[in-house]
Amino acid sequence: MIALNLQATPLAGQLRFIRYAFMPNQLRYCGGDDNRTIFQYGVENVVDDGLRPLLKKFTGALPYLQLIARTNGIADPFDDRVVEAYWLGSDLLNHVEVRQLYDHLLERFGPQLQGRTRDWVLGKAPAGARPHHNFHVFDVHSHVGQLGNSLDTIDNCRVSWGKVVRVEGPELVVERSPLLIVEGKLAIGPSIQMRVVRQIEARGFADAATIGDWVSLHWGWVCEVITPRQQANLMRFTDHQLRIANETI
Amino acid sequence: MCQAIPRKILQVAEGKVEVLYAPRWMAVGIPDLAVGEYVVVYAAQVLERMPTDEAEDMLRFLAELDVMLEEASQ
Repeated sequence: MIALNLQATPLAGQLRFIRYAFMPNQLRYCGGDDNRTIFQYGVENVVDDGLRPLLKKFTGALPYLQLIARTNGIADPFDDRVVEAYWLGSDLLNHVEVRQLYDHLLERFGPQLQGRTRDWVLGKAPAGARPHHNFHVFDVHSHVGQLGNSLDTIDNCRVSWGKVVRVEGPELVVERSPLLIVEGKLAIGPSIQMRVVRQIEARGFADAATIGDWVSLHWGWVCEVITPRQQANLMRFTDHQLRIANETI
Repeated sequence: MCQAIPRKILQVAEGKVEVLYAPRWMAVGIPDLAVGEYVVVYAAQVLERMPTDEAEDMLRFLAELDVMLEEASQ
């Protein structure tokens, strides 16, 4: 195994991917049956040949990662720049649209994609939709009539941001803006204080988080400390995808 | 990330159904679901019921998509 300086290695993207995929995998929503192993890679900050096959089991994310990489001339879909673009958003998304992925799938599988399968796979990718995790979340739920039943799921499944106001053992108290339904549309509400989990068995991916830091959140789990630039990107791309999702809700 | 995927209902109880996901109970407001029917699930939530022929089509497509992704990542 290789111990890594996260900022300086082409393998950093695999570790960043773990930070976001760990909690939905622990909840058994996606990925393989390797949660303990994935967690160990993440907290030890190590990468070896055994990790990539585990990450490729997250089949929902892989088409988007491949699209971002291909469009930006990057060979590795787990390159850190690609992984950051998918989970948080970055300039890499400026020239890539989800529609390109759907056109590619339609070209390859067109005759097989009929009825609701076509709706679920290709249904709603309006112009401007970017291959960002939060687009995927809003898109899946935009197929469903009663959003109210799914609001908690959507809010937890999107990657969100919070500002640390207290550190309390394995938890942080953060200021976070929840997702609301306002006049039938999804909206980001005013921030409220809430508890989020940052450690399991005294270890996590944001052990150094301190008051005033921005952190990224996924399913109530603190993924990592993010910079003000990354927080601004996440907020901007979330707002952008929400506007697009609301066109079809 | 997570994928919307069709699953066949194994058991039905009030407000929830069991599907193979290992067997797992999931919350349904979708009325009158029955054992053997397919539902589309996402993040352990039932999103909608799906006719059997369409569900089987979608499962076939998702299996082929997995192969395509594997080829693309070689």
